[in-house]
Amino acid sequence: MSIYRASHKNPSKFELYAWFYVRVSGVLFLLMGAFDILYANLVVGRGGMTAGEQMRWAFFPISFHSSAIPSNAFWQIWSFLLVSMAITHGMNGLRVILDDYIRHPLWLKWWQAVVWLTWAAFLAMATWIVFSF
Amino acid sequence: MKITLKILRFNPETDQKPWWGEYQVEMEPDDRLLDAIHQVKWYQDGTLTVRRSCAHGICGSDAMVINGRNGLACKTIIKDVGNKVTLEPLRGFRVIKDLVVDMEPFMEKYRSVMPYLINDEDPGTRERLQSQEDRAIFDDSTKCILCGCCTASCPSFWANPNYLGPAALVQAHRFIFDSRDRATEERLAAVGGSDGAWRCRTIFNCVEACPREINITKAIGEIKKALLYNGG
Ligand code: FES
Repeated sequence: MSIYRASHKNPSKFELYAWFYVRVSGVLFLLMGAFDILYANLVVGRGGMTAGEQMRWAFFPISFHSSAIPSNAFWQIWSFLLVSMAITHGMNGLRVILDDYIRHPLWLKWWQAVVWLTWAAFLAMATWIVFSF
Repeated sequence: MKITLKILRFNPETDQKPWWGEYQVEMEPDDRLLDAIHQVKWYQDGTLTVRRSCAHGICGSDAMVINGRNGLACKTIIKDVGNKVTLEPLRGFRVIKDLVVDMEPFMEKYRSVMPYLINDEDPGTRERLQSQEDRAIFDDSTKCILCGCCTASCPSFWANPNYLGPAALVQAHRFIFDSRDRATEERLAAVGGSDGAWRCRTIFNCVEACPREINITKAIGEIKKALLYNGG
């Protein structure tokens, strides 16, 4: 007796990793932002940063956003991690939306290329900004 | 009570495009919507085409869009839908005629997840035993009757007909989490591609649509986790 078995080649793990990444980075993003706010209030102290400065500092902690905290290697790397993670998270979201809405394979390829390029451009920009301030 | 049925009619052999047929029927409030459809078909317009078999919510053949929501006509009570009812064929499938859609692509996806127990071990002369706890894990997904209400309500499926769809994923869940089954790897491979479980965007339309009240999105979430733990 033999049982019919559909043959499935092992699918690419890309969607699995993307899905997992989105969850992990989403949580990390909030935790890192919370850390930045806490740092600004506990270490720099009350009144050291205006509310607006704190907002910008929370999710992009570079000295350009606040002169209250001097730039150093820790903040540069921290900032780079946070921002590149957020960019990747967001651009992956766009990639998924394209996948849902663009039916024509050529158009899809074209827009996917746009997303990848934009992602790379944002990353380059973030790197430049983070390490030059 | 008098009720008005507005039914989206389409006969591909004679009609250029779908049109609305309106019918008045006299029903009791506790009658089922299917009875009202029968009234139309048997006494007013025999050309109305509808598919049904059991008339008791178990064969899954009379799924349709009822006042904009997917459901089974045989499980819908007249008093719950009011005296003006619109009926349309399920969305996302080719209409064969009137309320009957082509379920073949749906069944093809169903077959692709291998919806049967696979276990080559010799059970001897006994049945394969399973604890009540192990049985409870996939209890919800055993309730599926393959009516297609969930898949036809899923925007992800409307956007991409290649998506396996919630129904096939529920059926995969039924066996992936069955302790007696031995083809977990193969089944995970069947649902792990970009047109498989990952196309679920947790929209929850399927849960809302399911006439068997299966928590489909939860089942798909469990499949995603199984994929993660198995192949990460
Ligand atoms: S006729 Fe069988 S489910 Fe409705």
